Amino acid sequence: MNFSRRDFLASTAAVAGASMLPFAPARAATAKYIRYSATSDEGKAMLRSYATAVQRMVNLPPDHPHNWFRNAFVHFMDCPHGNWWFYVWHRGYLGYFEETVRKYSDNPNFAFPYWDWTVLPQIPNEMFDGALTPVSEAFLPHTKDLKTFTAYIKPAMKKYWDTLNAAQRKQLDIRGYSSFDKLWDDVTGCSHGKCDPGNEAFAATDRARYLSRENPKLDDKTAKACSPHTVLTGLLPVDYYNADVTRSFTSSKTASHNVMPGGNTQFSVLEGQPHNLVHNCIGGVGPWDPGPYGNMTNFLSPVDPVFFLHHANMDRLWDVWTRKQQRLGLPILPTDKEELSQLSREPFLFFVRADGSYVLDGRAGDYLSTERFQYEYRHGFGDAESAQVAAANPSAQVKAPVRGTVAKGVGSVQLSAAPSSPVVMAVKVSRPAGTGASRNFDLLINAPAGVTKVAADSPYYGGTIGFFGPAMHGMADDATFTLPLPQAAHTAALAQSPTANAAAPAASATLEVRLVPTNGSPTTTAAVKAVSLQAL
Amino acid sequence: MVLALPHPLRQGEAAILAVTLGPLTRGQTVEVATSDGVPIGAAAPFGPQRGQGAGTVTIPVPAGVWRDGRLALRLHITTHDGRSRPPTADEVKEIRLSIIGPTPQSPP
Repeated sequence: MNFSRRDFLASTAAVAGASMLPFAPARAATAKYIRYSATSDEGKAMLRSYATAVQRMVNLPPDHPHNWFRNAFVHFMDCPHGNWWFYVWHRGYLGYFEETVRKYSDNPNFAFPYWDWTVLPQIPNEMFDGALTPVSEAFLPHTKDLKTFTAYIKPAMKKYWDTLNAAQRKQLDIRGYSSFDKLWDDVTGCSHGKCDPGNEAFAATDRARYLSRENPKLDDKTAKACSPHTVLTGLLPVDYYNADVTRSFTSSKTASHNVMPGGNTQFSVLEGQPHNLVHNCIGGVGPWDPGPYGNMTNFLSPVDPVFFLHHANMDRLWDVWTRKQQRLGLPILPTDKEELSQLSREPFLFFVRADGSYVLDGRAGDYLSTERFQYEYRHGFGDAESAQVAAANPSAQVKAPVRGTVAKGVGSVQLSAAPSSPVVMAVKVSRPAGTGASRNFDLLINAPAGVTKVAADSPYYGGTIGFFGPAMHGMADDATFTLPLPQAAHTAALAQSPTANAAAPAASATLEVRLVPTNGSPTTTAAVKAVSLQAL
Repeated sequence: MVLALPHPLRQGEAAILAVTLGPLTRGQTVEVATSDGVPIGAAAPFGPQRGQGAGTVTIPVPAGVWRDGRLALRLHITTHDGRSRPPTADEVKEIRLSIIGPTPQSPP
C-alpha cells in the first residue's frame, strides 16, 4: 500500500517526532551544529578539538562506556553493511558519538568535519597528528600487540556482554555471535584453532593504518571510486530502495540489519565503491595482503579516528541525495507503508549517549532525519552537481519489465508494437561446461529452425553475449546479459506476426529467442534460462 | 565480453554495471577495464570474509569509454602475490548493464 498525498498531510502531525514519512523534510529545521569540510579553516579547528577528545577517551578505563575502544566495539557488534540500513545506522552511530566527542573536546560547538575524498583523494594532513592517527604513542599502551590489547579490553567487554538484555542478545545471535567467545574470534581472526589474518579486527599500533604522512594518497583504483563520475552516478537513483540495485540508492533489503554481507548482497554504488574501497585502502588491502590489516579494513575500524570523517562524508552524500530528491518532487524514503514500517522499526540497541547511558529502545526511524542531532553540512562535492541533474529533469518513467517463458532452451516473450522508447532484453543463459566449450554466443530472434549462423546485419541477429574467464571444470553456471533489442528485429517481428496484414504490422508479436555459438559449432549451444523485455 | 548501450545516453543518464562476485579471499580485487586497458572500476569485499559470495557491486561506466555505443570489457583479479589473472566463472558470476537517471513522477 502506498502513501497518498492525503495520507501524508493527515498523518504528518500525528507522527511528528516519530518515524519519517517519504516526503517529509529530512533536515533539521534550524541546525545548531555545522559539519564543515576537513580542509576548511573551521574544519581544521574542529580537528584540533577532536584530537583533544580522542586522547581523553583513549585514556578512559576500559569499563567506561566512553572509552575509545569500547566505542569501536559498538560498530563491531552492530554495524550493518550491504543492506538498506547502512546509512541510517551510521547516522545514529555518528550522531551520538559526536555528542560524546563534544563533551570531551571542551568545544560546545563541536561537529565532525567530513573528508570529501572526491575533492581531496588523500587523508587530510591533520589526521597524522598526535591522537588523530592510531599509529601514535597515544594508542601504543593499549594496542602494542594482541596480547596487550586482550589483557586490556577483553575483561571489560566480557563484563559488558554479561549485562546485555534478551533483545540485544537476539541481535547478536543474528550476527553469529551466540556467545562471547564467538564474538572474540572476530577480534583475533581465529576460530577452532584456525586463523585467518585477514579477518583479524585487532590491529597492532605499528600496523594500524597503511597510509602515512609520507604516503597519504588513495591508490588509483580507490581514487577512481571516489571520482566525480562515480559519486554523481551513485546519487542518480530515484528510489531509496529498489530491488534492481542499479536503480537503488541503498544496498540490499534484508531481514535484519545484522545480516552480514554474503553471496546475495547487492551493494549500491556509493556503499560498494567509495565506502568499501576507502576502508580497504587505508587498512592496507593490497600491500599488506593477506593480513593482518590496519584498523579500517575490519569492523573495529572506528579505532582509527579517520573513520568518522569518512562516514561523515557518506552521511553528507545521503543528505545531498535527499535534497536532490526533494528538488525533483520525489520521495526520500520508501513510499510503500509496509516497506517504510519495516525500515523504520528495525531495532538499534547498542548506541551510547553522551551521559554514558545506553540507548536500549532505539529504532532506525529515529535517525532518518538529521533533526535528532541538529546538524547540517557546509558545501561539499555533489551539492551543486546534483542540483544541475535535478534541474535537467530528463527521461521518461520506468516501465515494468515483460517476463517471458522458456521451453527446451528457447525463450519466448511478448513484444508490444511501436514502443515509444528503446527496449532492452535481459537473457539468462546457462553456460555450457567442458573443454573447448564456446564462450561467445549469438542471440537469434524469430530465426527459422535451420538457421545456425547469422551475420550482424541479419534481421534475426539480436546481439552477441560472451562469457569471460575459463569455466570451472565440470560445472555449468548461469549469467544474465542485457542487450538492446535491435530495431530491425523489432520491425521484422511485428511484420511477420500472424495478426499482421498488408496495411499495418501487428499490434504485438511473440519473440522467440535462442542461442547459437558465434563460431558456428552447433555442439556447444547454450540454453536460454529466462528472458524479459524492459522498455527504457 | 561486449556490452551495448540500448540508446545514446541522454542528459542526466548514466550507464552502470552490476557485477556479481563469488567468494573472494581478502586482498583479492576484481578490476574492470576496457579491452584497451582504460580502467572502469574495481570491486573488493569489506569486513570479515566467511567464504560466502562477496555480493553484487555496482560500478558506473564513464561516458568516454563507449565506442559506437559498444563497450568491450576486460576483467582481472589481483591476488596476494601481486599477480593479475582473468577471474574464474566462480569469482565473477555475472555482469549486467543498466541505464539510470532521474525519473520525474507526479506527486502522490
